Amino acid sequence: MKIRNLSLFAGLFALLLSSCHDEKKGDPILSPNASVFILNEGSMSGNNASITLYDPAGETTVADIYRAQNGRQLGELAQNILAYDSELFVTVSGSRLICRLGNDGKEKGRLSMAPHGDPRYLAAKDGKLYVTVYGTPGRVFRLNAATLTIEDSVVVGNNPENIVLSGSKLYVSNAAYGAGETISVIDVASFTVTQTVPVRKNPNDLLAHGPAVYVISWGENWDAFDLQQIDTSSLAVRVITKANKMAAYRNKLYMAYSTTDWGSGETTTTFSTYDPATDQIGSGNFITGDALSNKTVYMLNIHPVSGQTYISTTDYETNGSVYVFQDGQLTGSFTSGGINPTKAVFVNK
Amino acid sequence: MAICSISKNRFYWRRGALGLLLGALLLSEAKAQVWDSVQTRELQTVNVTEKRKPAVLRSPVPLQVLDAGQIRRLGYQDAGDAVRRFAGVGVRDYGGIGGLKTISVRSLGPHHTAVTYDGVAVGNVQAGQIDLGRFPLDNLAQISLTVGQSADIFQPARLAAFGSVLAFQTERFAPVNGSGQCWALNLKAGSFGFANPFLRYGRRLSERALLSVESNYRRADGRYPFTLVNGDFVSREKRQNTAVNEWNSEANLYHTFRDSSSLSLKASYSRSDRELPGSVILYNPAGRRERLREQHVLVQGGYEKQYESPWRLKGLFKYNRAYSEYREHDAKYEGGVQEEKHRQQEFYGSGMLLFTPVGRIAFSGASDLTVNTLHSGFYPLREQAALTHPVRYTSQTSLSFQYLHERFSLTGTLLSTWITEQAASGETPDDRYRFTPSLSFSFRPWTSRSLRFRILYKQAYRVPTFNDLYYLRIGNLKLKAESAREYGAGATWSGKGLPFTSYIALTVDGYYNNVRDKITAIPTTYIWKMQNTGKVRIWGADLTLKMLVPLGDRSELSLSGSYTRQRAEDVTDPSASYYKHQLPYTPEHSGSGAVSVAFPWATLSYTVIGAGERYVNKENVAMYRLPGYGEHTISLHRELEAKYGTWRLQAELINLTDEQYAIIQYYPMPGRSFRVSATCLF
Repeated sequence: MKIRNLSLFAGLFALLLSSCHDEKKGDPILSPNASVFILNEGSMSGNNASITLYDPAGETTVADIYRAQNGRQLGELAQNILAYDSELFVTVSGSRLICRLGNDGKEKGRLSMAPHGDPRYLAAKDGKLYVTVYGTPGRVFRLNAATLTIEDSVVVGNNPENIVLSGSKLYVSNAAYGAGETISVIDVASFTVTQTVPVRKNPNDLLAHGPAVYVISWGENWDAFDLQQIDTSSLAVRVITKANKMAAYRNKLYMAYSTTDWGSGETTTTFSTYDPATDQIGSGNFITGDALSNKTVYMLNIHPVSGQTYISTTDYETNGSVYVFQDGQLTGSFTSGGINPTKAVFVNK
Repeated sequence: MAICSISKNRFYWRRGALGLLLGALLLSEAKAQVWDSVQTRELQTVNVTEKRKPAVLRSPVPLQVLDAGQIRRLGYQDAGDAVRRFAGVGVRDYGGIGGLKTISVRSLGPHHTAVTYDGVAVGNVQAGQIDLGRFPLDNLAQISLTVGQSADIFQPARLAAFGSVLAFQTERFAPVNGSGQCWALNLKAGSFGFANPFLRYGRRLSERALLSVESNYRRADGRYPFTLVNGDFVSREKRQNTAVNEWNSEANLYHTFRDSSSLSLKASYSRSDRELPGSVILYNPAGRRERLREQHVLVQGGYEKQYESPWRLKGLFKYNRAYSEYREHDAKYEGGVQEEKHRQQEFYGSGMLLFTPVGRIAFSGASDLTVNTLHSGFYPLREQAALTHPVRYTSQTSLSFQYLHERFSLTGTLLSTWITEQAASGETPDDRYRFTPSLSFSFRPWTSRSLRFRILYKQAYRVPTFNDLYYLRIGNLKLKAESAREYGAGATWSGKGLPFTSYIALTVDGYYNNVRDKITAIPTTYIWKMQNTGKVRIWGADLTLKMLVPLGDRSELSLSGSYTRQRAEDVTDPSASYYKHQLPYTPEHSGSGAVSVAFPWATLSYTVIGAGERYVNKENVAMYRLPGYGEHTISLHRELEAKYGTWRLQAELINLTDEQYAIIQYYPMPGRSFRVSATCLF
C-alpha cells in the first residue's frame, strides 16, 4: 500500500481544524504509520470479542492481539475502544469489563463493572475516563484513567450509549433501548447534567466536530438513521441527512448509509460528505468503486493526519472485512479476524 | 451495538404447546397391552425384539425404534438423550435438566421434524421447534423416528408436510384382568438436586372402558460443576440460575363400543418454572438471568371405526392452550427486566379414511384443519408488539396410494396445503398454497432372503412461525415457506449372521437433501430480521447395526450401534467466505453404541455417544472449531417379584469419564453424575 507522505504542515492544519480530538491533547502528533487497533465486538454468547492489530507500513495484521499478549480471551461483546495518552481503553459490555492496555496490547489494568451494569462507550480528558453504563437509570461513571478506580457517577437517561467531549461538556446519547429521545449534556468540571437536548428517537452515534455535535438517531425500530446537528452554543437541533456511520476529517463529515430491502435481502450502501461551512451534502467521492455498495458498513474511521480511511463491512455472523482507502482509492483490504469490526483507533508505536 | 444483543436463543425458549395425545388405538391392542409384562424374561425379550425388527427392516423408508425395555435398560436421561442416539439425528442440547433440546434429522433443522405424542402432532406455531426435554420417558412404550413419508398411509395430513416424524407412544396403563385396579409408583433421585416422583393409577371402569391417571413431578437445582478453559487459564465453575420445577398430570379414558369402534380421550395439565442459565459469559459469572414459566392445558381425543371391509375411518381432535411468561434480567432493559407473556392456542381436527378394495392395494385420504392463535405482551409495554395477535388457519388434505407385493411395495402421497392469516395490526402475509408429493419404493429380490432395497423421495416444507413473521422488529411478513427435498436410497438385511450370533440386522442408507429459501435470522444494517436467503445441500450416510449373542445359561448380549457421516454445506452465496462450509454444529462424523448383557439376576448396560469436531460458526476457520466428544454411561437394571408387587430397580452412572464437553459452545454439559430409580407396580 502506498502511503502519502503528508507534510507536517498539512497534519497540523488538520489538527487545528478538527477540534474534536480533545482526547488526544498531550499526545505526540500521530504518525501516518501509527498502529491501527481494530475492535471486533464478537457475537452474543461467543466470548469472542477481539482486537486486530494492523500495521499500515508493512500492511500486516496480528489477529486477536489481546489473546496473544495476555493468554486469554477479551470477553463477550466488546463495545468501544479509545486511544488516550498512548494507551488503549476497551469496554467489554457482556463481560462488564473495562480494560486498560498498553500500545502493544498488554493489559495494564481491568475493572469489573458487574455491580453497576454493562459498560458501553468511553471518553477521556485530563486523566479521567468517562464511561456510559447501562441501567435504570443509566449513568456516566468518572474513573481515574491510570488506576481504573471509580471516582463519581452521574445519572443520565436509560441505556446511555455514546459519549463525546466538546469543549468543556460531555454529550451522552440516551438510547433507552429504542425509546429514548434525548442527549444529556454534562459539565465536566462540576460533573453534573446541565442540559437535556431533545432529539429524534433512539440516539446512538455521536461525533464532536467544530462548534457542533452530530448525532445519529436510529429510530424506534432501528431503521430511521437521522443524522442531526446540535449547535453546542444554542443547543438547537436540525436534521441534516440519513447515515449509519460518520467520521470527521479536516473540515468535513464523511458518511456511510446502508439500507436493506427485507423482501429481497439486498443491502445498498451509499457514501456522502457534509461540509458544515456551506451546509452542502456532497457525493461520496471519498470512496470510489463499488466494492462496498452491497455490504453493510459497520465502521468508518479516518486517520486524523494521513486521511487514511478504514471501513469495515459485516454480516454479523462471520468475520468482517476491513477496507483501507486513501484519497478515494482502495489501497488494501484484510479480514478483521472477528465478528462485527466496530472501531479503528490509531496509536503511535 | 445494542440490537445485535437480541438473543437468538430467546426464540428457542418460546416453545409452545406440548401437545399430547392421543391417537385412536384399537381396543384389541389395548387388551394385549397389559402393563408391560413384568414377567418378561430374557428369552421373551428376545422374542419381542425379533418381532419388532422385521417392521423396521421392511419399511420402505428409514425407521428407527426404541422400545420401553431398551429405554429403561440403557439408562437414558430424557427423550432428548434417547433420540440423539438415532442415526442421522442431531440434537441441540443446551445442557442440564432444564436445557432446551431440539432435534434435527439429516441436518434439515428442527422445523422439518414433526413430533407426535400418541399419534397427534405437537404444535408450536410461535417458535416452531419442540423441546424434547419436556417428554418424560417413564410412561413411554416406544419412540420411533421415520424419515420421509411413513409406510402407514392411515395418518393425519399434517404429518405429510414434514421431512421426518418423531413419534412418542405412551403405554396404556390398565389392570391385567377383570375390574381390578393397578398402581405404579416410581421414585428417581440423582445428582444436582434431582428428584422425580411419578405416580400412575389405572382401573377398568367396565368391560369396555379403561381409565388411567398419572402425575409426574420433577425438580432439580441443576448447579453442576464444569471446567472452563479461557486461553491458557483453566478454572472450575458451577452453572448458575438453573433450578427446574415441573409438574405434569394426565388422565386417559379408553372406550370400545359394541360395534368395536373405539374412542380415546386424554386431558392433561402441566406447569413448569425454569431458570435458564444462558451461556457462560467470561468474567461475568452471574451472566444474564432468564426465567421461563409455562402452563399447558390439553384435551385430545380420537375415534376409530372399522366398517365392513374395505373401509376404515378415524377422527382426531385436539385443543391446546400454552401460556408462557419469559423474564430476562438485564441492565439494558428499563427497570432492569423485560417480561414477555405469550398465550398460544391450537384447535385441531383431522379426519382420515382408508379404503382397501383388494388386499394389495390401499387408498387413503386425510383432511386436517388447524387454527392457531397467539396473544403476546411485552413489558415494559411496547405498543407495536402488543397489537399483533395473529391467527392462522391451516387446511391440509392428503391423498395416498399404496401397493404391497411380497417382492416390492410402492407408496405415494400428495399433500395440498392452504394457509391464511389474520392479525390485529391488519398486516398479514399473502395466503399460501402448496402441493408437495412423496414417493417410496422397496424391493426384495429374493423372497427367501431378508435383503431389501429402498428408495424415497419427499418434498417437505416449513411455514414461517409467528416469531418469524411478527416478532417485534425481527419478524418479516414477506417470508416464503422454506422447502426441503429429500432423496434417499438404502438397503436392509437381517439374518442369523455369524457363528456366535443369533441375530444380526444391518441398515445402510445414503441420502441427499437440499433446502431452499431457508429461513434464518440475517442481521443487516443494525437489526436482525428473518429472511429466506439460505440454501443448503446435505450428503450423508447412516449405518445401523443390531446384534444378539447368546451367552448360554439364559444370558444374552445385545449390541446396537449407529454411525452417521454427513456433509451439510451452505451453498447460499458462492462469493461468501463460508461457501460450501459445513453448517454450524453439524459434525461430519457421529455415532452411538449400546451393549447390554442380560444376566438372569440383572441387566448390565453400557452406552456411548460421540461426535467429531464441529464449527460454531458458518465460517469454518480454526477459531470457531469445537472439539469432538464421547460420553459413556453404564447402568444396572433389575426386575424382581416381591410380596407386594413387582419392583424395577435401576442405577446409572452417567458420563463416567467426566468428559467436559459442550454440544453448543459455552453451554457446558454436565460431567459425571448418578441417578437411581425404584418402581413398584402393584
